[in-house]
Amino acid sequence: MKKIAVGLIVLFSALAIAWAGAATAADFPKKRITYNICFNPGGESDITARIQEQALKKYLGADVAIQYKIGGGGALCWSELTQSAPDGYTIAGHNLPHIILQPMEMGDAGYKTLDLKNIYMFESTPNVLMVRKDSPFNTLKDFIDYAKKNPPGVVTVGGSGTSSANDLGTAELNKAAGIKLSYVPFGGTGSAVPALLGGHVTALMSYSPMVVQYKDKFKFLAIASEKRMDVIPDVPTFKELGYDIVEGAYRGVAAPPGTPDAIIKILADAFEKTMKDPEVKKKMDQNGFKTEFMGPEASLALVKKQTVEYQTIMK
Amino acid sequence: MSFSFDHLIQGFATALSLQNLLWALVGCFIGTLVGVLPGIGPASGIAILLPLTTVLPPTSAIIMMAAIYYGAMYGGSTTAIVVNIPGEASSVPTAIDGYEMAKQGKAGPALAICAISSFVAGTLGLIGLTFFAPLLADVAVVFGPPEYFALMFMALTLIISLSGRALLKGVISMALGLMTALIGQDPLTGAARLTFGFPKLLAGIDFISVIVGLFAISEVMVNVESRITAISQKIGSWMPSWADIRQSMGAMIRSSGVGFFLGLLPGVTPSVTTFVAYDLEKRISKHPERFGNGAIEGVAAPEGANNATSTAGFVPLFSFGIPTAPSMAVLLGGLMMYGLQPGPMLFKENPDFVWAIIASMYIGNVMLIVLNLPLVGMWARICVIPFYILGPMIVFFSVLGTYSIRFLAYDVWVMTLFGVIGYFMRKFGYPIAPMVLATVIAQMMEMSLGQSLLMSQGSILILFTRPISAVFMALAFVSIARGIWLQIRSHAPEVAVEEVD
Amino acid sequence: MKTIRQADIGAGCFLALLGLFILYAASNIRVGVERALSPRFFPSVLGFLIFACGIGLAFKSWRFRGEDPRIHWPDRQGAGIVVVSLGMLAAYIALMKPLGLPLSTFLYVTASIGFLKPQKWGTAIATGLILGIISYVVFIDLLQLSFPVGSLLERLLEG
Repeated sequence: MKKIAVGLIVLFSALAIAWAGAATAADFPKKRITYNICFNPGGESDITARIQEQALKKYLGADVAIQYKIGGGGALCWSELTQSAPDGYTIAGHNLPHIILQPMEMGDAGYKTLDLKNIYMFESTPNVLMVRKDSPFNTLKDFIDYAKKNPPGVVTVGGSGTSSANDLGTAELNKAAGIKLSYVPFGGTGSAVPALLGGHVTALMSYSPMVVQYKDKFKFLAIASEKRMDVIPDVPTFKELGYDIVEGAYRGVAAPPGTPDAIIKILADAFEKTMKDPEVKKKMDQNGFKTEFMGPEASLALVKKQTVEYQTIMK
Repeated sequence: MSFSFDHLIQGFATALSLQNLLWALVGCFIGTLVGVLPGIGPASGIAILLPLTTVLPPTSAIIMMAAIYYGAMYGGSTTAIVVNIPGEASSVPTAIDGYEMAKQGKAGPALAICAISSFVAGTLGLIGLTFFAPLLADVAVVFGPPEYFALMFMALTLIISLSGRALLKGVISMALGLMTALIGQDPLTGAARLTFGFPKLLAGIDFISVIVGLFAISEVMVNVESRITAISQKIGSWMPSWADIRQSMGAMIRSSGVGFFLGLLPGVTPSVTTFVAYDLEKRISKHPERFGNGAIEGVAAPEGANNATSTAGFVPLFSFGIPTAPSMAVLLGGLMMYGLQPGPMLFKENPDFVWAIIASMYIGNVMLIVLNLPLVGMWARICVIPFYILGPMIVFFSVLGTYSIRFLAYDVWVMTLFGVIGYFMRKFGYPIAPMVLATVIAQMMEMSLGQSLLMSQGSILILFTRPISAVFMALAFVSIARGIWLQIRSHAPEVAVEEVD
Repeated sequence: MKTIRQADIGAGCFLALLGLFILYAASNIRVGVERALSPRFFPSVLGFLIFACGIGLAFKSWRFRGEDPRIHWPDRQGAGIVVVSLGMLAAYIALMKPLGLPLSTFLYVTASIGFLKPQKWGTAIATGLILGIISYVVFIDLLQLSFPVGSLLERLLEG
């Protein structure tokens, strides 16, 4: 018995190692695709992926498994992605500004912005400045006047994460209005909400889905998009109010560096069809997400454009 | 949401429909399994199963997801007791006494008390949720960053009682645990810390790896070196005696209270409240020395707190749409897949929906105890499996659990490393629980301190000028002073009693 | 190191050094964004705490004169079993990616049961097979978790 067992162990190991080889890209996809999410379940990236899931399976003609790789504010997930096999079977959600600011600020974040091969950029969530319903501020002007009257740093603004679009947006507002707000980072969009509800911060710089969710608890002073959003037509843009601030988070998917363009195209097409699927579009709109339709080239162009923009803000 | 009998009765009518009963049962069953599998906690369990629920109407789906959530809370303690693998930080206090009981051939009673305690606390929590949710809702937002820091700081002083006589070693264990949690990215500024030049360490160290390593792997090492034949030679009666139940009744009720009130606070997860409840029981017990040697209250208390906390989490969820734990966030995310917009509006505008869920939770709790008590006999039998088979199986499940955190071999290596660290800690008499507690609280503690200082423009006084945080800080300092005083008076060698075989 | 006292003196010195090393590492943390709480603050406090506790522990044990409990080290054979078991665990983790989870599980479980109880190779193979199959059917196929399948198994399944 012992000899048989030892024999089996040796045989299997030898066979397995001898048989290892690379997969071909001709009839992609022919097996399950792993779609990695770099942030906590329940966050914006996760919710988007969950909304896409069914339609994505349909248009890809393959199974899609959503999986979490959380750590280092997304850095872990992206550095793992750059080391994955470039066969299109491993993809990951990515966000701006994270993938641009992390390598810029941390020195070695384990990946470089342009290592990530863009597939599709499918959504954005503009920043929205909000205060409690019972607060004395009714307009952005009230808020800015209040900040000017108080010593610098006394007025606090909560938001999701450091070096996030919320953080940048607050910095831009400081610059544009000549005030000094203290930005207080929280562990996610949702964890900042109790701080405003309890009055521990003066305002929140958060993303557009919050407007839909908290319309009976908060007042929304301004949104940092080019135009007003259809789902929240009564929230004015910063631009209308005289502050040239357009800031928000973009979300999309990327593949490992070196993934063949043919495969990228197949994936991008599937994502495009998914995002144009009426059911998906409806759910995204309802929840306050702004849908985007940027293929590989357009996404890359956006990444490059934003890189320049963030560099100017950071100075 | 506000209470009315009409709503509640309406809720029961919906929840008792054949279809919803069925999905609740399926959810309870899956939840128990998810809880039993180490490493796959409720959050990832629900996330994995989300796609499967899309075929159901929203009410049935959330009934099922909620059932998975509290079902997992029931199942989580099973492996902690029978094989010393706490799959979650919240099961660590359960493992301390539960595994001792299993070694003494009392795995059955320990598991049964777990189920009963979960039932009692779950039901008490539900009563609180049903009748007082609107009153209690504001508690959830009273705590700002300074209060959270003070609460976590106070929780750290629990280490004094967790360490027993080995206070200095307990503090060392805590300091190393905090250190471990700091590795990776600073939550406040995003700076890379203590990575010692290894980019991999940027990912940080997940506390599941730490827990599984410290408990399961080091336990296997100790067991194989002494060539034990099985964890326990006998399985006694699998039912607890009336004496057991009487003895743990007080603990169940007290821990329900503690778990429920702390559970109202978003971010205070069962991993903290179970420690608090365990500590409370140990403090008020007439025979604190029994704790760590198989005290049945030491099993009842954390389990009660676990379930009460999970139930209390629904208060801020239904009142403000705030998820209090990762698994709640997944549940909420699930709603979005149905095109529902989570947030306070959802629950305000759809009382039918809310009350159907609440009613189904009463039913689910009954289902779970009916489902779990008969299984106790089966789980308890795991202890008598010959260890040469059980040992490799424990390792297999540990590897599976830690790998599935992020699907990285790195986390499994970390687990192995902590297995070795745990082995030496046992040999040298260091208590292990403080390290786990510290790893769990560290991030939140640092984050809330940083936020507090931002709120006060850098003044530490904010912790002492706000009344609630001042009270917690004062309690913490009293606790520390008492610990130091006891330490100075004692002249015993530094050995954690419960960790030396 | 035969007794707790000796171990404590050793561990105390080690911790003191570790504390100093952490203090040094903390001073090297790159501060990017300026916030109220420096990313160096907590590591420095902890480094100091570990250093102080280490010194305290070593000093206390050095002065300690009383009943000194012995450490329960394993006998020679026991130590051998622990080392080999750890080695097998390491091999399991290392082989998981190239061989895939099901196969490496089979190999690991069979080998360790066989090692712990050489009389029971039949049980070892059976348990290994069962767990290997469970790892595929339940975790990879049913729950859709992306454990490595291994190219051998992948090709076998494709036919």
